[in-house]
Amino acid sequence: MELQKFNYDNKIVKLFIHATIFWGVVGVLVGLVAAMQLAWPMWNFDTNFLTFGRMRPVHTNAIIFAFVGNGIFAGVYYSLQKLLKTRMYSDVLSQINFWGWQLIIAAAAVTLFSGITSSKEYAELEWPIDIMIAIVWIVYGLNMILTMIHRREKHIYAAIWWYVATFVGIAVLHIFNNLELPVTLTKSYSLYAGAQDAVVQWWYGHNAVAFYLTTPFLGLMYYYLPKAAGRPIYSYKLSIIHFWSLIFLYMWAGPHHLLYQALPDWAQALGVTFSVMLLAPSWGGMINGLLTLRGAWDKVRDQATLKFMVVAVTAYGMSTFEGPMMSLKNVNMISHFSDWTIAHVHIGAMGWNGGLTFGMLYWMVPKLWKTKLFSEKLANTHFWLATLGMLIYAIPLYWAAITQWLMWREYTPEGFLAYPNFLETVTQILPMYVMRVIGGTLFLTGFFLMVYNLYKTMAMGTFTNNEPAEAPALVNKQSRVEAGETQHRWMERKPLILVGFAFIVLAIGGAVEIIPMVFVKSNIPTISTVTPYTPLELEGRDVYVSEGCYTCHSQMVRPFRWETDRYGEYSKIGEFVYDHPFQWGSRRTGPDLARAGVVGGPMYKNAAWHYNHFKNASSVSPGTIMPNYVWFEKTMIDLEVTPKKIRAMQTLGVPYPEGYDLKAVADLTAQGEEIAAELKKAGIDVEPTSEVVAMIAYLHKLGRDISKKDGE
Amino acid sequence: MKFVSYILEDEQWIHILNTVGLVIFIVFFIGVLYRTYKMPKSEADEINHLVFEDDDEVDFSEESEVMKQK
Repeated sequence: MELQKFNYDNKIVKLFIHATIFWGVVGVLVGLVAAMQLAWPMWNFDTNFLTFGRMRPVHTNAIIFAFVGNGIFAGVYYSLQKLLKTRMYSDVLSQINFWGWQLIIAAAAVTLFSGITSSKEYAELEWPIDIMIAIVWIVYGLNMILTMIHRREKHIYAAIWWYVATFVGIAVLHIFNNLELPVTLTKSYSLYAGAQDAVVQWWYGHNAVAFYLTTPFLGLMYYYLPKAAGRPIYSYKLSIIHFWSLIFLYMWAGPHHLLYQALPDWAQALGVTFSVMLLAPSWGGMINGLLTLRGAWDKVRDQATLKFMVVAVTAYGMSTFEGPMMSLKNVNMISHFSDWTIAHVHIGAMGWNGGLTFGMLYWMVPKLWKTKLFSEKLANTHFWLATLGMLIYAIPLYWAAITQWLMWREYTPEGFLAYPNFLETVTQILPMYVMRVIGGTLFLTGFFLMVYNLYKTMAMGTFTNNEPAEAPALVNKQSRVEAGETQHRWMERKPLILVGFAFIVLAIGGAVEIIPMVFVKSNIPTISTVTPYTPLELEGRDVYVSEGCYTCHSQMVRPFRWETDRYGEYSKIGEFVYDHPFQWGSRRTGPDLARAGVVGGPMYKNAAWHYNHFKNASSVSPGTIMPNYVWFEKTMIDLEVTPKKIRAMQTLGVPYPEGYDLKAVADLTAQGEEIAAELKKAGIDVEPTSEVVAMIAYLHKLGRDISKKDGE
Repeated sequence: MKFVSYILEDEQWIHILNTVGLVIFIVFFIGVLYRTYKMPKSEADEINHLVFEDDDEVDFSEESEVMKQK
């Protein structure tokens, strides 16, 4: 058989390793600042660029797409070439992938800090960046598939199936969730509204966890864990079963993020059913990972690489047990809108994604630089700092979640809420927020140790950009099923069929979840009193979106006594038909605002109160951790864009009268003057077209329509 | 397309969606399970060891063929 000589492209792996390390430090650092802002609000600096509402999406995007994303690419580019015994199909595509991704990350950081956001969690980036992501992602997938086609290894190893599922899954999710109508270069509106938008977003949000934070890492686990342990994966058969089961089931489970919310029962039941079922394939992966170490536990004692991988797989197991439990309605009632979810995702991110990335880097860097790790002792110290940091981060947040939930639902013997002031439930958990800062600091300290250790390792070794290798040519890929060969093994030789079949399996869940929400009209019952936003309210809503208010405030009153007593009437699906995008939120660091406009309701505050609250929150809410939005009164609405926004809304089906775009600015100014006049009575002078006036108009709209009687 | 919309607008089928999903999954799962069960152990072991095939040491010395070619 002809032995072919070729070179592995190590340079692209090196670039992604450097990017992983750099963006990892940035992402964790921003997260630490965000944690400090919640413990001590002065860290918001009264500056629009640095408020928590903007910092939080920067942190989540930096960790998910920059740190984890570059880590995935580094791991995939290294293992894919080795497993297929070939160089990546195109160096140009690899370079476009790398530099394109870094450009996206830089653009994301600039825009998110500038308040340019679509507000859809983990998909906040505006439409030009969304298009860039789609292009770069397709470049990556194309390069991967072409490499698979031009391989020298007959069979496609389990790790690569996961890479394929990742590519297909993210492509589908990204495109459908980011369908939006551009208004300007930096502003767009989601094509979906209200409940439909929520279903699509959490179908994406949940499956971004699945196909960006889980499937690629299972692929990396299937390669790097056996390599580090020196033992083959425990069960190849189990890997087949849990691969297909996992990618099939994940796509159905999204609505578990919307339990007890304004969503049809069938969708909620669907989410719960499939979330519980997910436990089995998830644990199939964890068991396969941990049992791979049978007979190799002595190595775990000695190597930080394996220690990190063990913690990663354990954290994966714990998170994937916790996830289905949180999908049960009686548990979700507690966990949703509380810090439980934050703790849950950080066990996954710090333990599973962080741990596996650290383990992979500690294994890969010495291998690529052909040397030994500079200091195993430092790596072990990093391991303990990271593990303790994760626990010190998460445990207080679980505590905070239970504490706050108990306070939210506590009643006096007379039948009144024991803690009617939401702020009391926040100040109670501030010590836990301080603990979170300590946990994050430990994690970051460990990270810095790794940076030092890896760069010393690199300095000690020598790096070969083009690593020579040789392998027999793959002459006959045999398109037919061989005698006695299983269908799956045949498929392992056919990359395009594998990609196609993975797509079908993924698409079933997505289609079943979304198509009924779009087509069945009875899913979205309308409410006759609900009217479109006035131009000023719409502008206020855009400020609300831009400032990331949804990161702390929900707009969704669940049908529980302790919520309706605190906020007002529970939310109904028909209230949100003009909400492009929806603003239901996922965490209540501040109170729910869905009934902030119901005059006489428990959440109503007058214009002067809102003005003072924005200017200096603690002046009206002593002890609050809300940032001050001092720039609201100085920043004016861009009135040139308002008519474009109205036209965009009309295109999306919002029933403004024909030609209303021409009257919109006049209406906006008139409504602004009314609010400015009201503020004037309280001795406050503001421009009618300032952001603060728009925000007040928007907040006074919330819940107002459904508190009206028909015909009012 | 209108026909599809007409069919889909009927809400009755929504209530059996969970059951349909479960049935699809169970059929699919049994298929995968059966195929995997039928796979010979030797075949599974062979693929399992693919991950170690790249561990063959390549001669990186200056005199080696691969380096000369480079």
